[in-house]
Amino acid sequence: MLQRDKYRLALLAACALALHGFERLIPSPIPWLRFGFANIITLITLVVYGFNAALTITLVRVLMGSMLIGTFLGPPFIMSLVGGCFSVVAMWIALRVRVFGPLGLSLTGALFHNIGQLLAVYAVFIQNLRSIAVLAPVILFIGTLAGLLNGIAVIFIMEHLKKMPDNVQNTL
Amino acid sequence: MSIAEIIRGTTLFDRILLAVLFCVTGASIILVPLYLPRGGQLRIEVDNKLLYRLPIGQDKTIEIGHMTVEIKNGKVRVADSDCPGKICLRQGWIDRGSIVCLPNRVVITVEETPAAQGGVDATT
Repeated sequence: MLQRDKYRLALLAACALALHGFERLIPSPIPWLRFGFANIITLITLVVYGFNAALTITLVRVLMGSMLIGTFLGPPFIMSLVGGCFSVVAMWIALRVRVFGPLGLSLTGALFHNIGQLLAVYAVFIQNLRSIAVLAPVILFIGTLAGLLNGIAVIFIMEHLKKMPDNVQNTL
Repeated sequence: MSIAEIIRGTTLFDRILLAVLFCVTGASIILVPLYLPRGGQLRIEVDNKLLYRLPIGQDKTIEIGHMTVEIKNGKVRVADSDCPGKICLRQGWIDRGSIVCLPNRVVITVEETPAAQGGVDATT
């Protein structure tokens, strides 16, 4: 990996972290349901730099984010860690299938992020399948909405990256 | 940036996936609660251990740690809690399904009474 790419990854990780943090300021009816804007950065990193880079950025975001916000090793931390890893792996597999565009990848990521979170909740906190069954459809539905929004953002950003004369294109 | 440009940025599989996800999750929001047993009795679990099993018909207020759970008119709610999110409070009164408070590790589930699982079903 070039030194330049390392700087870029650090910048992308910082972007993801900033989005992760600022997203908390958006009012939401249910505190743990959020847009997951950081997934925009993860997805772009995945497409441009590949799996390892995307996983690194997710781990950096989850670790640093939890330390900034103060949930390190708490329930939200475990949920975002498991959800983040699930979503990166799922998006990587979806990318390899090669039939999905940015929107499909974003939806896959959102879906598996939520599945990962629900599994984490079930495994670590609540062994009560019925209460998970009540929560799951609502969480997955809102997750799909969030995935749609993020997917649209990624479509725009990818269009702009393609237009840039810079050597970003060469790495694609 | 227009809607046409967004649509051009998607593939056929993207649109199929979007439609399927919306349909499946939307339908399950409506369908899953219908299959949940209505009122009967309450299970209150803390740390995955059963703490109380109460009839839902009996009005009662109980304290679980820093939480207050209120049972009234065949419904249950969390009246007060010290948790940061207050999701449990926002759920309000329920007579089916469950209320979960993750920070306090409390799960309140409405389940069928053992009698209802037996012969009473003959009326349906």
